[in-house]
Amino acid sequence: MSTLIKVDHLRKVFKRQVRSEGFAGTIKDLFYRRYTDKIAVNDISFTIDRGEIVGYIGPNGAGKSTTIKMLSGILVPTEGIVEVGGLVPHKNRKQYSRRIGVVFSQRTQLWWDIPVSESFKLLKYMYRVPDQEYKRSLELFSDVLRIDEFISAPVRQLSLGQRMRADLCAALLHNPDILYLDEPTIGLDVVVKENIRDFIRQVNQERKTTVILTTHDMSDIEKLCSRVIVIDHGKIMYDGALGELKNIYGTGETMVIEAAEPVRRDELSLPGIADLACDGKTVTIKYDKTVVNSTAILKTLMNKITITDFVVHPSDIEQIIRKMYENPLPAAEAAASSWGGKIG
Amino acid sequence: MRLYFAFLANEFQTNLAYKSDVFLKMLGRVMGLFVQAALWTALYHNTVSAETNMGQIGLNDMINYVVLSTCISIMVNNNTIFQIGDKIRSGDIGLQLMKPVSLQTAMLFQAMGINASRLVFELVPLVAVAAIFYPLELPPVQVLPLFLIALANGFVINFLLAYTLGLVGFWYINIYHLSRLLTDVIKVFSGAWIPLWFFPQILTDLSEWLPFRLIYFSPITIYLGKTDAFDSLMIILQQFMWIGILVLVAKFVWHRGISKLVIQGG
Amino acid sequence: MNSLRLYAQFLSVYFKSLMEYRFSFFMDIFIQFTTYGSTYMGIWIVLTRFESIGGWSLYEVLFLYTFNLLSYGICSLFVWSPMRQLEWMVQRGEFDGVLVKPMNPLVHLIFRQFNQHFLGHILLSCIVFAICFRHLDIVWNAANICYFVLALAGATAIQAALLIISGSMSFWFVKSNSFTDTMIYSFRGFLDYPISIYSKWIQIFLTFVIPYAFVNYFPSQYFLGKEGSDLFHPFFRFGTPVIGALLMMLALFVWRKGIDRYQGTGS
Repeated sequence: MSTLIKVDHLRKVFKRQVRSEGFAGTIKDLFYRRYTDKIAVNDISFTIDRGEIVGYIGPNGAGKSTTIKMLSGILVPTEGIVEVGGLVPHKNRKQYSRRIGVVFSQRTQLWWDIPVSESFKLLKYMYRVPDQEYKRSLELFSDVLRIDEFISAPVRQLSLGQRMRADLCAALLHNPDILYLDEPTIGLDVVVKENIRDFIRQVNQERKTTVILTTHDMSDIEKLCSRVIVIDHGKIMYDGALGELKNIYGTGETMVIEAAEPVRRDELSLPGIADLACDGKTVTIKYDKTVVNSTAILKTLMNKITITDFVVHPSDIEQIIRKMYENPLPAAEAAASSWGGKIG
Repeated sequence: MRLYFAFLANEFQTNLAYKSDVFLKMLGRVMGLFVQAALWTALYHNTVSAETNMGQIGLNDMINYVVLSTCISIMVNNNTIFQIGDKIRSGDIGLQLMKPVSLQTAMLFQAMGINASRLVFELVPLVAVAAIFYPLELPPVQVLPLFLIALANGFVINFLLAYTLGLVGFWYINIYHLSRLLTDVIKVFSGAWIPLWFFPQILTDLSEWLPFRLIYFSPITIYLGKTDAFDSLMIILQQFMWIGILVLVAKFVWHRGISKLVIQGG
Repeated sequence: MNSLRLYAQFLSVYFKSLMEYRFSFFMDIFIQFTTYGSTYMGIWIVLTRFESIGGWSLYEVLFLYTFNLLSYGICSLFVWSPMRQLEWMVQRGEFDGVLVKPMNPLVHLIFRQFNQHFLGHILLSCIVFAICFRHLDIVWNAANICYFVLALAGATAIQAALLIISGSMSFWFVKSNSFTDTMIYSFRGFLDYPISIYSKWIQIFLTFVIPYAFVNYFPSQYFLGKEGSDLFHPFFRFGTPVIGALLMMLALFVWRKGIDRYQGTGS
């Protein structure tokens, strides 16, 4: 039992200026500003142990980035407690920064015009990384991420995938206790994504680095996390094992079918499905796989239309959350039973 | 033609959007005006007027000179050189070859748009403020048309210089350097800061051979009535001559630049 | 100290990247010579034609101007780029990256870069100072040399403090760079000449509201033995180091408050 991160009744409220309508309104705004409260994070609590890889997921605007910013010491909470390894991130910022690594998507923390290797050297000095450790880290990075292939290039010449890998290494150079990843795989192709996931897993196993990862991509979660925290509108919707989450809410699937000829909705009758949409030759079917499975659907369809192509998409995060709104109670029970009561 | 006016209108609108920028810039100009006026007042402390080749120049003349110079700078300065530099750097310049629009003319109208908006939003307030603090003079009516023509020509000369130098961007990437050099040279040889009357002989002679004085110094002397009709016409003639020369130079640079682009690529 | 070694590291990396563009590097410096050189030339032209500016002769005005230029050049080497970049760093959330590093954010921003343009200002200033000293009767005894260094340091501190305060505005306002342009360039323009040529109100403003006069006017009055300054008490001539220190403290305070705001309201 080694709790590393403790978040208790955390709240973050932003003041946003309300802009008045019309010309008269603009003039009024010059003299008298009105503000409204935007609650980004609304009373969340959880604890994370050393060595966990936790997925922090939710739709856009749910409060994921805000939480990460509070955890990494960038933002000051409006209310509540954030404690990591006994330190309060925004209060002991310098000391705390030494023990964390952060990667933001689409923004690099490396120096733009100089070779990656030079950026690494600078970071080595900044974080006072001992020579041996530095060498070992570089070897690890070369082995798994093949960073030696582009380490002498300046960052501005790197592709997105290379830059993300370089940023990941930069964040891990000083062997931090915690790695915060904010949408790390956005815009990357499948091969690079896999590579990065393998790397994170390996680092977690070898160095016991705790990883908190926010993402929009369910496959990231599938491949890396055993535990997920789902957040929506600033509140925690679910905190527990990924498996449970999928079993309870992730049973929806979407099948997209391309037919040889345009299909009309009334031509098809499929029992047990949730939704059916026809658009020319494309048919989109939404269903719950515990109610009816894809094979059965295909069989029924093949009798009526000629299928040229089909694809099955598992639930995405929006669907899972929508389902969660519909049936919140089972989650609380399931999570409580499998995780020992750590829900928000 | 319609198309060119569209460019003009566009730039006018864009400039309108940045109100706080405009205000701050104007504040800066007013302060600059105070500094210059105070400078000449101090310089004229022991002299009533200075003897020059255009007659006596008194403090009042200098105060008006300074205001006029600031006004001209509002009316002729724009970001043409940077626009061209950006186009070359980004490669957009290649697209230009495929358009039925002459880049030079398009840029000219864009520049006119910028300066037209500056005229309304920067010049008028500046003159209003200046009039409060300093005794501004209006020229005699007969001088006005000549002055306006000279002003317009000065604008075109300034534009052509900026445009041509911008085209040098085909060979030398750092447009900022080129722009600074142009500004510095103009600052000295155009009489924008210190009138050519007070230059030592060598510099005056040098300026005669350069087009820069025709942007600031010469139009101002027309306005202040320091030149008679003949001299004013000579100035305008020289301006046309320089416009002709610069158009040819610009054409030449353009062709060399484009062939470099086509042969070597971006 | 470790920080200095860190800075040295930053600088060596920065220069390595710069040396890739060797010609550009020298041009950066050359254009400072053309810009300020032409200003110097202008001052020379008018003072050859007219006697003095407000009782200050050619070399006295050059001394005054150069004191401003040199202090500006030195402070800008370190502080100019970071303060200008702050506007877009805050807008684009790049500032977050600064906050997750184990360094004081201001120190980090300063260490990250080194604006070589200003080497031109410094070089030119030194040359002009050398020329001025030969034509002026300044007694260079120990006390004066000491005070010259102190006053220069104070002037540099004042310029740096004003740049930092202007840059910090990015934490509250969107278009802080235009504001900076006005504050730094336009107001500083008054310093080109002895402020005694301006109206009483401007002199008071430049002494008590935005203490630019302490950058070059008051120290110059001391070194050039300018008696009979109507408006201000003689001891103002020694105010520069003090004002420099005070203003710097204010600047750091404003900066701190700016960061607090950023951490409270996000970007």
